Amino acid sequence: MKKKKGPIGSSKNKKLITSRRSFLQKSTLASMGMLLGTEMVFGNYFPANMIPVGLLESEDEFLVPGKHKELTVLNDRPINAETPPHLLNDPVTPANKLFVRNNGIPPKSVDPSNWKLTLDGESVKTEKTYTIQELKEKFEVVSYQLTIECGGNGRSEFNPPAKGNQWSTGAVGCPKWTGVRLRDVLNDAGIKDDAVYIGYYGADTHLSGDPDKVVISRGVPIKKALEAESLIAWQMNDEDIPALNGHPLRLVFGGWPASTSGKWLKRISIRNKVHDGPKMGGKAYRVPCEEVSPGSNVKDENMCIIESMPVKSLITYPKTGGLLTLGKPLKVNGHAWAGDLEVKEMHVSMDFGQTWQKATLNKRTNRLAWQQWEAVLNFPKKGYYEVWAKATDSKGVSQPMVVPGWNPKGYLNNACHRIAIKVV
Amino acid sequence: MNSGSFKKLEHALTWLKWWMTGLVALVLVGAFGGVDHLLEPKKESVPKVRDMAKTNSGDLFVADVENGIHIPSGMIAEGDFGVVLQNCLACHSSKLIIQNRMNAESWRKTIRWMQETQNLWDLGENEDKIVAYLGKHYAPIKTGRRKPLVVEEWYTIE
Repeated sequence: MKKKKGPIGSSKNKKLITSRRSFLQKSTLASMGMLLGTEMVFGNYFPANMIPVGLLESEDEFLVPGKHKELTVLNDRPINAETPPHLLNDPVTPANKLFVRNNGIPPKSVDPSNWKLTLDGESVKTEKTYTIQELKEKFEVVSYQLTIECGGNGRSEFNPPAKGNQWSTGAVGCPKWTGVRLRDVLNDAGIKDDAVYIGYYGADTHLSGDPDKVVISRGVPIKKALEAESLIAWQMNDEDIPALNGHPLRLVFGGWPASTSGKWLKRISIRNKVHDGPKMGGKAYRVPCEEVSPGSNVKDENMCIIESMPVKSLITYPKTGGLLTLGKPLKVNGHAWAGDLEVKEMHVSMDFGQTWQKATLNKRTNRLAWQQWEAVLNFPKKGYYEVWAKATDSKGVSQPMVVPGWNPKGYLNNACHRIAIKVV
Repeated sequence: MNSGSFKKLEHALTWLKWWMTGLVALVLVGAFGGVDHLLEPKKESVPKVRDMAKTNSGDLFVADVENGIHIPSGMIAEGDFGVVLQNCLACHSSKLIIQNRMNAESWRKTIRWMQETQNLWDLGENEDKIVAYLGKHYAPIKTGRRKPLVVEEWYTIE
């Protein structure tokens, strides 16, 4: 990677990489600035356990905290990083390959043994507080493989462009989550008949440094909260949830915008109305109730909350940019998911969507888990190809080949994933 | 090209045929690939129109320009538009230009194709002016519903 002289945080789409330990032990912010040959603008915001990308000589030994070195970092305050498609090839997403979407600053010190979860709200029968140990002892512990995807995954393709992190395809993953069912805990505290929604509060802090300002507080309708797969989780893939993904406790709602799955979970409010925490209202995680032409101004009252995510798929093998010898068949594979629904069919095209070949599609391990698909392509002659993937959900709805309905914040782009192949 | 564009193109062609009494349109519409199957290009000389184009000054009537647009043609009235009006619109509709987007190199190739097959004259020093004007004002639009795939590094699949 080339040395960068620009101020830290000036690059929209860069890799942010932590240092070798030895480097950290010897370095200070000032010395890093000296090495860069320029002042570190916003240097006081720079995460303590990272080094500026400008000082990078070799990527070999550098990692984002707890993450694979090749994650693309879109934002460094708060940290937002996505996973390139070829790194998502595992059927169960490893912890180091799950995207990071933070709205604020994660809690700095976490003590799981003293962590408490409170249930309150207008529609709770009895306010209750539980330690993680109490959750483990009092309720059935369950594991599900659940797909979580950022509502803005794919935003980078919208035109006119939508503001926000310009996610391409990598703000999605499907690890195995372990915890207790949210409904068991809600029922233990008691749900009044007038309950409408649950809203979460986490221990992350606002970027402004204001300790009283809530970063994000979203939630789901009671119906979704009471599903068997809606979890209060403390483990991902049989280990502690990574710090950036919500350690020690978080909600997980498979198939819904990942912003509903609150991290560093401290409190759940059972509400007698649609939850009204920060990022529930306005244009956040909402799309126009009726489709609008690109670039339209949409009034807040005409925006509807996103619930289930749309049908979508990824080609995770091969990596885009493959050169293939003529006559060699190419096995392609990936995942497909469909929000609350199941994926019914999977197709691939090597001729820009003119003809489609049916792929084999596996059954999901449980509801709300993504499914694996595979196909073998035989390219007829030399030249440039794009392999496109298209999933169809159980209601017969397929992914569009172009970017779907424009919306002010650029949510829900489920256009076919494409990779480039040259037959030589 | 979608069917709507085809309809517009067809409409433009009909209009052009009528206007030029079938002389020029048939010669030049093929210049923009993909329409050859609509009309068989015929090579016919159009000395009157071309002589007029070459001898006219190409100066614009100020009254024809509103908000930077040359109203009769709908084209951007900036820079060397006068030269375009004189040399290009003498033979074909401005719509054939407006609905297309090319970089300078491709516009020059199109001129070369028209010279080789459609009897376009040697543009001399005006060629660079025309290419620069078209490459600037009718350049490819960078974003669409899907962007071209960008491959950072090609690798061999074993």
